[in-house]
Amino acid sequence: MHVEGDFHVRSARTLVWAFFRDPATLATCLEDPHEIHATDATHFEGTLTAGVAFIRGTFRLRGSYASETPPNQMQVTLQGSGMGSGVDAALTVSFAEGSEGTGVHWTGEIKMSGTIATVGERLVKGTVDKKVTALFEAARVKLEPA
Amino acid sequence: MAIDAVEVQSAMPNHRSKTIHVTVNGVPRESHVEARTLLVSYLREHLKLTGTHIGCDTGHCGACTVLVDGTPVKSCMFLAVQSDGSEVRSVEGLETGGKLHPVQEGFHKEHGLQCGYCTPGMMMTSVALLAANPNPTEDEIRRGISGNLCRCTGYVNIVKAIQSAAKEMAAAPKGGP
Amino acid sequence: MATAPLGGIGVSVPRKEDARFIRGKGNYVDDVQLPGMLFLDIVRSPYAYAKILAIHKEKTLAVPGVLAVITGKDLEAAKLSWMPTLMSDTQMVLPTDTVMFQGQEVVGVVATDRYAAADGVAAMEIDYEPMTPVIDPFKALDPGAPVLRTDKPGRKDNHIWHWEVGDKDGTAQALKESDVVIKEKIYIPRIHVSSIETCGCVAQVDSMGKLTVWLTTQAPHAIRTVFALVSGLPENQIRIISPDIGGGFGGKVPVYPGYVIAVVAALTTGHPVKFIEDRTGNLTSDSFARDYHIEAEIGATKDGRLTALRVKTLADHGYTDAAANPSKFPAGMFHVITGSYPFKKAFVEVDAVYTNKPPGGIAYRCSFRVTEAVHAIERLIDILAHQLKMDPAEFRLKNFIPPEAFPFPSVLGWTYDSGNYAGALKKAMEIIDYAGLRKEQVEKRKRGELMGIGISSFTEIVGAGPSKDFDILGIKMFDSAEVRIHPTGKVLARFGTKSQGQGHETTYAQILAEELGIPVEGISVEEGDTDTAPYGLGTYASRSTPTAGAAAVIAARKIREKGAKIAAHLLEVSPDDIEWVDHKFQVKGVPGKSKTMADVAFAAYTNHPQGMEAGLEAVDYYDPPNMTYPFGSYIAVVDIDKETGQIKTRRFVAVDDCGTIINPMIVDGQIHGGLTMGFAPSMLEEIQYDADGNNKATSFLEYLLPTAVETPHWETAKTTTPSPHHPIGAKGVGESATVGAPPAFVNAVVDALEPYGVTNIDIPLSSYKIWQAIHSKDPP
Repeated sequence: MHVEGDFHVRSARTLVWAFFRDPATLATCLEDPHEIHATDATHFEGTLTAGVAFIRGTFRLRGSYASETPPNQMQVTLQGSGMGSGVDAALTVSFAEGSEGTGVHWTGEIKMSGTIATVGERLVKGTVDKKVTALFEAARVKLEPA
Repeated sequence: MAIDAVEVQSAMPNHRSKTIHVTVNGVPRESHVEARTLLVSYLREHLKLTGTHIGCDTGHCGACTVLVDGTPVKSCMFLAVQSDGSEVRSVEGLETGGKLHPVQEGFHKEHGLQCGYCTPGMMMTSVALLAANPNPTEDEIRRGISGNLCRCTGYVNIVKAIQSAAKEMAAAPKGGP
Repeated sequence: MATAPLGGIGVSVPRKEDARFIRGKGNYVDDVQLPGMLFLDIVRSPYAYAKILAIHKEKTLAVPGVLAVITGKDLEAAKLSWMPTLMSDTQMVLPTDTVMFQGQEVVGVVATDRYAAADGVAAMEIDYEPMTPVIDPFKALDPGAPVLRTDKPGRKDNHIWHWEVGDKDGTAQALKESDVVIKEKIYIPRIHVSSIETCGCVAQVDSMGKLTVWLTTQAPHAIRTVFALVSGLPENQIRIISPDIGGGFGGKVPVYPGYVIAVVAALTTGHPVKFIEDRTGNLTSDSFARDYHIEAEIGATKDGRLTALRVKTLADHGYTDAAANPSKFPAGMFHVITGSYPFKKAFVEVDAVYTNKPPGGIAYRCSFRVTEAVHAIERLIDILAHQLKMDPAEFRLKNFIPPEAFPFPSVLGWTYDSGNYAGALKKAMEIIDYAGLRKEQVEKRKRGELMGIGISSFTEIVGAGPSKDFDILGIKMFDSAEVRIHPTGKVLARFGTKSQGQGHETTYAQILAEELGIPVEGISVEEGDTDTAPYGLGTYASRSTPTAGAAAVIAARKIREKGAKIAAHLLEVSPDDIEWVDHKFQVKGVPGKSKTMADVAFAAYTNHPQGMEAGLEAVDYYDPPNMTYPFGSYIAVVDIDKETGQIKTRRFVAVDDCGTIINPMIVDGQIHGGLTMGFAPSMLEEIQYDADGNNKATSFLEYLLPTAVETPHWETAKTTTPSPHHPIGAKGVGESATVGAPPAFVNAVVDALEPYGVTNIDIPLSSYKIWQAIHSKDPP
């Protein structure tokens, strides 16, 4: 499924870039219980406890940063598995310098397989949309200067 | 043939347990169950009342239907601890004093069962249906049992079985089954 | 000649087996409890096609209660990671490096109880590398398509087999010469039997090394032989017990990986091991049915005489051919597709392909691909009738094989035993008032209302089968009965078949009551235990009455032969002077001088003639001389709501002819159930996959079984045309209705939509499809 969106913050682009480039900081935007840590300069892993419909449990996450052109664009890939399901996400996040801050745009594909993919597409799509939107909204709030 | 690559370790389950007091088919019970134990597991595994069956694990098929305080409940979606303090009636509790319940008689007489797997749940739903509506129309019966799936009978004879039971119960003196 | 107290042929004897089922005392496999029993649960693949990079057992083994983890690598060490399918293909028990479909068994987790096993499954961590799956069976044949079965040396494509029968050139010529030829594509979607009891087993190894497996199987004896051949265990050290079965419908014929893993777990741990599928496992990995992409052409003269039939079919078998067909017929009896009509020319070809879907190709309450055949021919007949502007009933009546033509050799090689097709159709038309309905339809069309009438006049082929043509993995498809009369005249009879709700304990007893003159109450029927029952191929494809039922008759008649000698001894006459009259041995022409079977049984143990063997029993392995060909005519009447596309089945009349009827109540029950399993895929059921190979029907939330509300009120009637070759003329009835019903529904709906120019709608007939058909065309 395709996800896409954007927001604008009154923060400097380098600051926004750094926020997104640090998995530990980015993880603070997750509303579901999680434990995420970097394993090297470009990789991170951990767990996330989340639920879609009656499937609720802990997913194992492995992620990486790729195709980075700081501070313009990065690709974040995420592989999750657990509860008989798989989630594969590849997001391209772009940062545009504006007169009064930074414009953040994200686009990408999220592919689900296993139990989670079968509980009803509409149900899952709604939940995933909500979670992705919530993640970026939390980032926006945290980045917005007081 | 030997699978020596299999790794074996011994460990016993260690989950939070709770004491419940349930009256099952008229017999008061005090049991210790894991908090997550489903009512169907409690009946089948703890009490060895295997007449209540599991068909879908998701509350759709109704094979596991039992009565909790007279209300039909899908026991695969209901925790044993939720029945604490309640009266539970399963298929094993239908026959009283060596006499079959009119619903059991009806299912036998009208050929309302084939493989027999959905039958206990179907009969428990029927008992509750007739308690609420002693003289249901065919349409009311079909709606009443729509939470119970049967793959063998095509429902025609189940409807007849319930009608037959309704008739017999109407004819029976008050205070009967 | 039958009398009610005897409970013989033709009597609606209430079922003997009910006594335990209505009390909740049935003994299904999940009811088996053994001391020290462990539970097996299975980790399944979330991907349709992926490499397994690593299986991390540690967290699962750390779960309290988990005792063992079994992987494909473990099985490989014992040469058990693959097993043969019934079609001599190969199937993974557990994968060693690649998963082939979503829901495939990947790891077995053995624990002290099912909750702990589920915890172990949830804790399992497996690293996969997903690959692009092959989902579309047509694309599977593209030259560039990835070759899925890389385990098979030298495989260059996904084509499994090609099978054809008939006169290819003659059919082409006949179609060319036909005045009218129509061509239609019909897809018979992938469905699942979904018996309310899922599949499972309990495996136990005793102190003498004997393996006992309680198993949800329709064919216990064949399974024992397969287990022996695969495991190398001596066959006398294997006992398969098929306990009460909560519905089979073909889904409990194959051996599933879980069974083998449970046996391995029992052998490894030394404990009994239970494996019970959950519904998702059942829907995502057990054998599917149907999935035939049919393209068919049918020809006729302009005055409405059928000329030729040509059928090309693509069969999606998933990643392995795990169908359950007789060895000689990889597409089953699909070539009964000429149906109730005397085609002079026909040609049928089927190609099977591998895709990243679960294996199968089993029946769904039908005899080996007969439903697919009946659907195609009964749809084509209707389309052709509409094309010729002939009434579909009249068109059928004009073309049916006439009663005097039986035994009828079909152009594709079958010999139909008996039939009266026009008789059944006329009866159905009379019951439903066909003429009146057509008048009503004309009126309704004038008012713009959508009403349709659909006919299906099917011919089935069941009772496999003659050993010259039919075997499964080389084992001939006979079946058996062993009948023993005790000294007090009570009977124990054992059979090679296995009831799954059909009521064998009652109907077999009735056959024996009729043949032995012993009341049905005194006859016990046992099946399903390979240590006690005679060898047989089991119950599926409506074969029990045609084969084991016939064996019961022959065994009983063998007993009567011996009984006559004992009766002669008791009556002090020559055996030649004894005849079997009114269920008794009687001195010819002297009605007062007779002995009952009970008298004879007592004598067989207490006073048998010197020189004769004591006892009174017989066994028969019955090899039928031919298949039986049940038939019938069904008529559906539907009303369609134009605004919503919703179909309402107003009436459905089913006239069946299954030959001699043993128990009318049970036969009607079989028809009701069969019709509902014909209705189900017609209206609701389908297993679909998305482009990534995700199964989109993994629970009863998406895989819709009909409830009592959707299911029509069935009206049934019978004609009786006995089979000439079956000893009591019976044909088998369990599946006729499932086979015959779907085209009646589609024909009715397409008839209702005729004003919109619709010629075919593939099942399931969802409201959305109907709505689209109505709204994609301009209103008439």
